[in-house]
Parts: sequence; structure tokens; C-alpha cells
Amino acid sequence: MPWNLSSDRPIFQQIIEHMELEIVQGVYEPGQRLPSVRELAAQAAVNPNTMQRALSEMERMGLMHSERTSGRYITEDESMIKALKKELAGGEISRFLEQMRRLGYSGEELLTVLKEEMRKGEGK
Amino acid sequence: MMEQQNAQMPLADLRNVSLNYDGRFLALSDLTLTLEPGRIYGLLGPNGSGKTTLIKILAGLLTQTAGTVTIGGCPVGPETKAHVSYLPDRPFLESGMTVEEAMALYADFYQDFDMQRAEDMLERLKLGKRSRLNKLSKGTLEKVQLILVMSRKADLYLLDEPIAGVDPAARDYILETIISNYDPKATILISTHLISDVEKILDDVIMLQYGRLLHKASVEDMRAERGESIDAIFRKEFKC
Amino acid sequence: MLSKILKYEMKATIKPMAIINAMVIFSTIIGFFYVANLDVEEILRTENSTSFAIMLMLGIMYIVGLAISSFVSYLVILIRYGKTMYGSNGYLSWTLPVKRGTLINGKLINGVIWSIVNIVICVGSFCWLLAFYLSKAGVNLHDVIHGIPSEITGHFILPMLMLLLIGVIASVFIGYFCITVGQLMKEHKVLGTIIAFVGVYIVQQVANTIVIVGGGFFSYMNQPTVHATATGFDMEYLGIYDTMVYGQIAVILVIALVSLVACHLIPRKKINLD
Repeated sequence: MPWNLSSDRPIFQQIIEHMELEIVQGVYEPGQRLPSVRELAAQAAVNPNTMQRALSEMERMGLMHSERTSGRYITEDESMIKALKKELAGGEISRFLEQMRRLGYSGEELLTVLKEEMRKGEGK
Repeated sequence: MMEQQNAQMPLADLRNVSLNYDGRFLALSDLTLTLEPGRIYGLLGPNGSGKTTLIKILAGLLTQTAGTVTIGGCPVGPETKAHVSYLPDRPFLESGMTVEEAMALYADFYQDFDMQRAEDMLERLKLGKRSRLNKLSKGTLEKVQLILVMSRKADLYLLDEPIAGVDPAARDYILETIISNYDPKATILISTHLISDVEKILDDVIMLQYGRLLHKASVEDMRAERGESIDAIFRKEFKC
Repeated sequence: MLSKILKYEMKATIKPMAIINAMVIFSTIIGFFYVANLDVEEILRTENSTSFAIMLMLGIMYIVGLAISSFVSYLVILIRYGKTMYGSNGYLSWTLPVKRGTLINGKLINGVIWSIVNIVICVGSFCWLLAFYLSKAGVNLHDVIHGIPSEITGHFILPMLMLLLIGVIASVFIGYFCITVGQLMKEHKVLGTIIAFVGVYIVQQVANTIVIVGGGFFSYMNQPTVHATATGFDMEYLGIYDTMVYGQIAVILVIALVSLVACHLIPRKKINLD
């Protein structure tokens, strides 16, 4: 997944968001070994210290853990990954709902339009 | 001397540094700042703000007219030059040399030169070692110079406008090279006016204006505080 | 570190120097074969012949060629100094982990070495070819050389050789000095260098004049009787000449010393790289 980092928000936060997405998408599989901090920083074209900070934070969050000599690994805890997926989805959904509210959609009307669009999408 | 450095000690320490050019023009005025190991600094400022002067003083090309400058606890001289790797903003190698000869020169004069690292990076460029420097394209020559400078395991890297006048692909290559060679014990100081391209790899920015220190702050803190990129902040600060 | 710098300097200048000096040797060898096939005595007897004119012309061309080789050799050294110290290469030179003085001295030594090599080859080739020519002209060199009075050797030949050698060595110091001064004119470094050369030349001529006139006068005052005899030189007369030559040597030495000091001191104040 290409890194699309914007410079007007702290990069540290954006790195976490990006990697959470990659974990949920399965780009990084549970238990998979991560490249080194420097490699990741080079891939993302960001400062290594910032990358380190982001990775440490994700370790703290439990999404990763590091073995002293062999490096960093994605968590094997599939339920945690599922919970993250739900959380990310929840974030997107609230944003969606807020957008829809601004357009004037809510409740049943919203569900109808939603189902219609979903059917259209499946037909393609 | 350079080895006596510990984690608390700054790598470069400038105190009340001024440089009076020809007795007329103050290129740097009472500048006090420190550079810590393991951090990548961006040196920003409009033309004439003293960026190049500061870098040249750290490199040992210019001597300050007031104040003290120490690198690793030593005043600037041959001992510090052995641990400072400087990339000027123009071709600085003898054009008649081959790439191989340039590498040999670096290996000969600098104990900290890592020949293997240089060869690996050159191989990625698919560059023949026997190519003469004056036969290389401008972009390729800049990459070669960068490779030589970054192949040294120096304590302080001084990069003067490393990505100016270079195409976007080469720019990415250069930034990637800088990141990949990152050493938590070393300091990198990048002087640039192309802030938006470089700001994602910086830890801190040092902003100069009229030879004085305007700001020195962490990039992430500034972004969090102002909700803007450093580039945007800079444009506002130095609006004509 | 000095030996390292010197090594690099010599490696960088050996190619042009080898070519220049090889050309001198090559033309000398050609000259040798020319003279070998020449009936020198015959030509000298009939002074108005074309062969004489040709011989004279070739001789002049040869000497001019030697002079050109020395000049080109000098230029090569100076251009290298200018480029590596005060051109773009200066960014590398001045940030190498060596003392500034070492850097400058290394280049001075390199310049002096090649200058001496060239002058030795030029003078040596010339003398060798001249000796061969004279021997073909029927001159008995052995007698001529041993016939030179020791006063002339001592007061004329030796000092002139000293002047030549010292002059060649000093010219390197002076050349580097002019470049160092010239680079102070940021935008017009070459012009500045030329102006510096003119300046040094003027100073040297003025000093020489003072030394020659003053020294000559001084000698004259101490040797009131000066007379040229019918058979040769009066030894006392030569005393004036001594002072003149050694005086010029002293002038060059002083100028060279000042140049050396300036080459080291000026960069501490100002280095104008491109």
C-alpha cells in the first residue's frame, strides 16, 4: 500500500493509521516479521526516529511485539486484529454518517439509499 | 576526544557565534545552538540567512569571527574534519578522476570510510567504477558525491542543498539514501530551501534569518501545535 | 599526512609532466641525430649558406622549445594549485582531515620537485646537445672546460647556476602566492593573479636595481682601483659582479620567503571558493 502522508499532521499518528490498515487488510499477517525500523522508514520516506516512535506505540497498543534479537513481529492475537478492524470500520462509519447527515439523510431513508448503492455496486 | 562523547553531550555546540564578512556584513550574528546525536536537522531560511555560512563553519571552511564552535568537544580542525562528512552544493571532486579513484581517495584520507557500503550503493546505480566524473550527467554525479559522503561512518553529516536542481526520482533516491544510512549516534544537518520534499525525514528544524536563530523546534511538535506543514509555516514566517 | 598529500599531488601531475619532459628529451634526441648528420665545421666556415641559416633557426627553435616546456610545466602546477585550493575542488581540499599548512606544503613540494625535474632535464639536454655540437665543430671541450679560470667559475658560472636553481624553486612559491592573493578578488581571480604577478615583478625589479646599484657602488667604494688588464679580468673587478649576483639571489630569497608566509596566512583569513 503506498504511503500517503501529509505534512500538516504529525507523521507519527499517520504511520500508525497506515500500519493499522495494513494489518487489518492482511498485508501484514499475524505473526509476520516486520522489516527493520530503517527499512520501514526508507519505504515510507520518513524520519527513522518518528518511525521508531510509531512502532513503539503500536507495541504498547499490543499490535506488535519485539523479540530482542530477532526483531519486531505483528501480534498473533487474531481477536485483537478483528477488534481493530471493527474499530477502524466504526471510525469510517461515523465519518460516513456525519457526511450523510450533512446531506440530509438519516434513519430509514439512509438505509434505503445505502442498500440501493450496495446492490448497484455488487452488480458491477 | 570524539570517542569521549556520551549520550548527554551534544555533538555540535555553537556559542555566540558570529561571522563578520570582510568587516562589513554580519553573516551570522550571536548564534547559539546545539546539535544532538541521532537526530536529523533541517536548516531552513531564506537566501542570505546564514545557512551556508553555518555549514561551512562546521565543515572547517570558514572561521567564525566571534564565539566558539566545538564538535565532539573539540574545536574545529583536522580532528573534527576526520569525523565530519560534508556534501557541498556543487561538484567538488576533481573532474578528471574516475569513480574508483574518488573512492580510493576517500578510503585513503578518511578512516571512517566504508568501502563496501559505497560499492553496494554504486552497484544499485549500475554505475561503472571506471567512469570518469566529468562524463557523468549532473544528476548521476550528485548521487555519486552523496554516496561517497554517506559511506563514511561520520559523527556529523553536513548536506548543503542535497536535492536542489535534481529530478524527483533522484530526490527520492537521495532521501532514501539518507534514511537508510541513519546512525543513532550520528547527526545529520540538511540545509535546504525545498522544505516540503524534505520535512518528513526531519526530526527538528533550525530556522535562520539575517544570520540569527529564529526557531529551533521538533517538527512533529510544530505540526501538532499549528496543524500545518513546516513548509506552510515557513512561507508564512518569511512572506515577502 | 604530508606524504599522503604529496603522493596524491604527484599522481595527479605526473601525466602532464611526463609528457612535457618526454617531449624535451625527444626533441633533444632528434637534435642529436640532426647534428650527427651535419658537417658542422663546414657550415661554420661558410657563414652565408642556407644550411647555416637553417641550423641557426633550428637551434633557436630548440631553445625556445625548452623555454616553452618550462613555462607549460609551470602553468600546469599553478593551474592545479588554483583549481584545487581556490576553485570548486577547494571544498574537498580544505575539508580533508589535514592541517592547512600540511596541505599547502605538500603542494609546494610537489611544485618544486617537478620544476627541478624540468629544469634539470632542460639544462642537461641543452648542455649535452651543445657539447656534442661543439665537439663536432672541432672544439676541444676538455681544454675549454679546464681553461676556464676558477675566478670565472666561482664568480660567474656557479652564482648563475645558483640563481637559476633558486629562481626556479622560488617561482613556485611566488606563483602560489600570486594565486593566493589573486583569489581575494572574488569575481576576477585570474585577473587578480596576473596583477599579483606584475606586482611581484615590479617589486623584484626595484629591489634588484637597488641591490645592483647599491652593491656595485659599495664594492666600488671598497676597491678604489679597478682596471681591466690586457690578458683578462682583474679579480677586484669581479668583486662587484659577486655582489650583484648574490644580491639578486638574496632578493629572490626574501620574496620567496614572504610568499611562503603569505600562502599560509592568507587562507586563514579568507578562502574564496567558486
